[in-house]
Formats: sequence, structure tokens, C-alpha cells
Amino acid sequence: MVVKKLIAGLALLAASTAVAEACAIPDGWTQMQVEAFQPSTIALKLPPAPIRVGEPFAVDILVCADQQPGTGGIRLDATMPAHKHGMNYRPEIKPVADNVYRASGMFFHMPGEWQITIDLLSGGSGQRFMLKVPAR
Amino acid sequence: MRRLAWLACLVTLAASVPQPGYAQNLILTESEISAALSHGPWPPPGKNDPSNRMSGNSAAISLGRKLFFSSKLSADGTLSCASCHQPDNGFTDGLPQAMGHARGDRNTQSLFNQKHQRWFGWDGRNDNLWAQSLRPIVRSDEMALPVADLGTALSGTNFSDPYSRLFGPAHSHTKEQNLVNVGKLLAAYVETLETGKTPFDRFRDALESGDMVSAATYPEAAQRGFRIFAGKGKCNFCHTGPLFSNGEFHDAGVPYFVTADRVDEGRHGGIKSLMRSPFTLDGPYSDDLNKTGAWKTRQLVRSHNNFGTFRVPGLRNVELTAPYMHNGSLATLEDVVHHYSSIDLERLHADGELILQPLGLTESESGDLTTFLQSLTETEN
Repeated sequence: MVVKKLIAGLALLAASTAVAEACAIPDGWTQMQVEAFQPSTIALKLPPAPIRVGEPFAVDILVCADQQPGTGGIRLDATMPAHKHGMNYRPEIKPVADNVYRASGMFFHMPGEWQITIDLLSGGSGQRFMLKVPAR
Repeated sequence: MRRLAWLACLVTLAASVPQPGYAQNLILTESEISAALSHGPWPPPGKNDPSNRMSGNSAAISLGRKLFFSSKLSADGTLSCASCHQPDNGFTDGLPQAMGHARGDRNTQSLFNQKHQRWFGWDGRNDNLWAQSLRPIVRSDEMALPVADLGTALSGTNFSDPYSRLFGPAHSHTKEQNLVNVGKLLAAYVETLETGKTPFDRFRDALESGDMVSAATYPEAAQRGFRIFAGKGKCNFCHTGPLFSNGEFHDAGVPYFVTADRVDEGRHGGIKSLMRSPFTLDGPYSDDLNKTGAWKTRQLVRSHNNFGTFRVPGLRNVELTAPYMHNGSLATLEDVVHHYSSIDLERLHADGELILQPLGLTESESGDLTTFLQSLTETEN
């Protein structure tokens, strides 16, 4: 049993390493964090910090995964955890290049720390990624 | 001995004169100064509304102004836009609730600085100014003019020729098109109602240019008030930027019951109205083929949390636009400050935002905050 788990873990690690090597994160992009190990990697290209309150902006999403999710497999949201509220507008996500999607209509209406969350959905399972960004 | 006394006097006098770069009474910290800078510059760069081809058109602005003050846009010829939006009253009427052909549920909002807004009305039922301008004409509790009568109101009057030059004769349009055209003329005029610089703006501009001597002339009480506004008051979480408003919708702990058995849905009802309206930036009457700005209506999140929330008003010239809140329930600025100082958390949405807390201001702090708000009134110098 232990050996089976070890083999499965090594296979997962090998797969994610292959994905990471095949999909290097360019300069100027920020890798999103995960709470538990995820086989995929997501990086965001954000406007220059701090993000300006009250002005719509777009975010580019680089998805490094075994299988691209397509726009239907990416859910993006942003909240202010300290204030218990989210955005008032749902961003529209479209593909713009290989492995890259653009979320437009992002809008932070309050200054402070926001948390962007992306859920990657494919094959009935999901992976969650997070990134904290300041708005001013 | 006498010579020494004179010398001592001169030295004392010289020491009391502010030297260049010496801030005598500037009490804000570096982060507070940074917060102050975020509320300007004023005015922000403006641009014409692409959805309204009359925006910025001087002939349209002139005709729009005449229509604004004309009672011909009301059913019985007794009311004009200016009946509620009185220029000498901060473009409001000084009443708790608007009084058209019937009493409304909400306070008349000022028309200052509408050019810079994103949503219009307390509940944001309109995503553009011309749609907001046409609604009161036909609402039964406001000017109550039947849409079919608008063409008559425009024809055979001194509006007829200038209207024709801009749009063609009124009788050549549908009644809806005439209504939209009038909305666009009114909006073209209302866009010009922009407030001037305030004592706070001069303070802010002096800070930005590093003129600390001029900055120090801004009253200390107003500076202390700003410290509360941007600090423990957290007022600038919603009253952001040069407009002192984020243009969005929040629960301010003001009851939304109109009567014991009727509520004001606020933004929740506004969104319902917006989605039914043909007069949006995404609709057929927008002059903008690119539908710029329509994204906000298409991508709007609808949530039960919208219930009972109302649009954050801007605070420029707020001293002139009493009474306050969506239902006009607070008579003075002092009452508003007291409301937030002692806010009843039981009145806030149980699963709503976690921002407001009773501030527990002292009498002196309340006075300072009020003084700061009063410094947002435009002055000549």
C-alpha cells in the first residue's frame, strides 16, 4: 500500500515537473499559490502594482497543465477576505494565445488587500489557486 | 541695553515667521498625505459620453438647459427638472423625499459631477446619464408626462427649431426616440454641472507640489477630520478617489423599510429595472457602436446581498445638499457623523460586508470630521 502511494506520488511529481519545464513562467508574471500540491501551475500578468481602485482592468492567465481547460474550465473570482465581499462584476475570460487566457472586466471598488482565486476545472476535478494583491 | 532689547525682539519675530519648506501646522503623517493625494486631482480629465452624440455639443447643451428649466415637460405644466433639482439648493430640493406629482420614497440626489459617475440613481437603475434624465419625465410620481405627448411639447414651441436642427422635426420620430433625444439633451446640460476647487483641493494640490507652507494653512481641525476619514473612520473605503465615491452600492445601516409593509429594494430593484430597460449602453438607443462601458451591465453580478444597498454619493459640496441618505432621514452633516459614530450593527445585513463598526467618536472628533466634510465645499479661493 505504501509502495503504491509512493509510486503514485512520484508519478504526479514527474508529471508536474514535466509541465513546469514545458511551460516556463515569463518575467513579469506572478505564480499563484496553492494550499495543497497541485499538478498544474498558473501565473498571472497583472497591471502595475498597486491596482487602481475604481478602474476596470484585465488580467492575463498562463495555465501550465497537462490538458488545457478551455475558457469553460477556468473560474476566476476576487474577494476582500477582511471585508467579506467580492467583486460586483464577473470577468469575461477568453483565450488570447497558447496556454494564455485574458480575464477582462476585473474591477476592484475598494482599497486594501484583494484575493484572486482561480479554479481550474477538468475531468470532474478541480484545482484552486490564489494570489493576494493590493488595490489603492 | 535698549539696543539689545530691540535685537531680541527682531530675533523672536524672525523665528516666528514660517521659513520656506517649514510646515508650521501640517499634522498629517506620510501615509495620511498619501491618502489625501488619492482624492485628486480635481477636476479629473473628462471626456464626452460616446453613447450620447449630443455630449459636449454647445447647441445641445443650450437646448438641454432650456428644457431643464421648462415646465412643458410635465403633464400639467407645473413641474420642471429644476423643481426638484434647484440650482440654489445644490441641485436638490432640501426635502427628505422628492416631491413631484406625488411624494417619492427617496431623497432627491444632487446633480453635481454626474459626468464622472458609473451608475445613476440611488439604486443604479441606469448605466448612463441620458437614460437617468428621461425617466423622471414619464414617471407618474415625478413629471408624469405621457410619452405620446412629448412630440407636442416639443413642436410649436421655441424648442421646435433648435430641436429640428439637432435631430430633425419631432413629428418625424417615434415617441420613444423623442424621449431618448430629450434625455440626451438634458444629459448634455447636466454634464456641465461640475463643482470647482475646494479648500481640501488646494491643500491636496499644495501637498503634491511640496508647498508645505501653503498646505499648512488648511485648518488643523479639517486635517484631524481627514485623519479620522482616512483612518479609523474607514470612510475612504467607499468614499474613494477624486469624487469621494466608489460609485458602487453598500449597506450604510439606514433602514430600507418605507412603510411597515413596504421596503425599498435598493440596488436589487435597480438591477431588475436595468435589465428590463431598452435605454442601456448595450441597447439600441446608444450612439456608441463599440458599446464602450456596456461591459458593466453585461457582467454585473446579481446577488441577494444587493438588497437594501444604495449608491455611495459623492461628497463634493455635501454641505449644500441636506438632508442625507437615500431616504433623507438624516437632517444635518452632524447627524450623519453621529449615525456612523453610533451605528447599530443589528441593522446591517447579517451576511453582508464586514466594514462598518460604531466609531465611538468624541464630541471633538465629531466636530473635526464635520469640519473636514465642510472643506469639500467649492470656494472661489
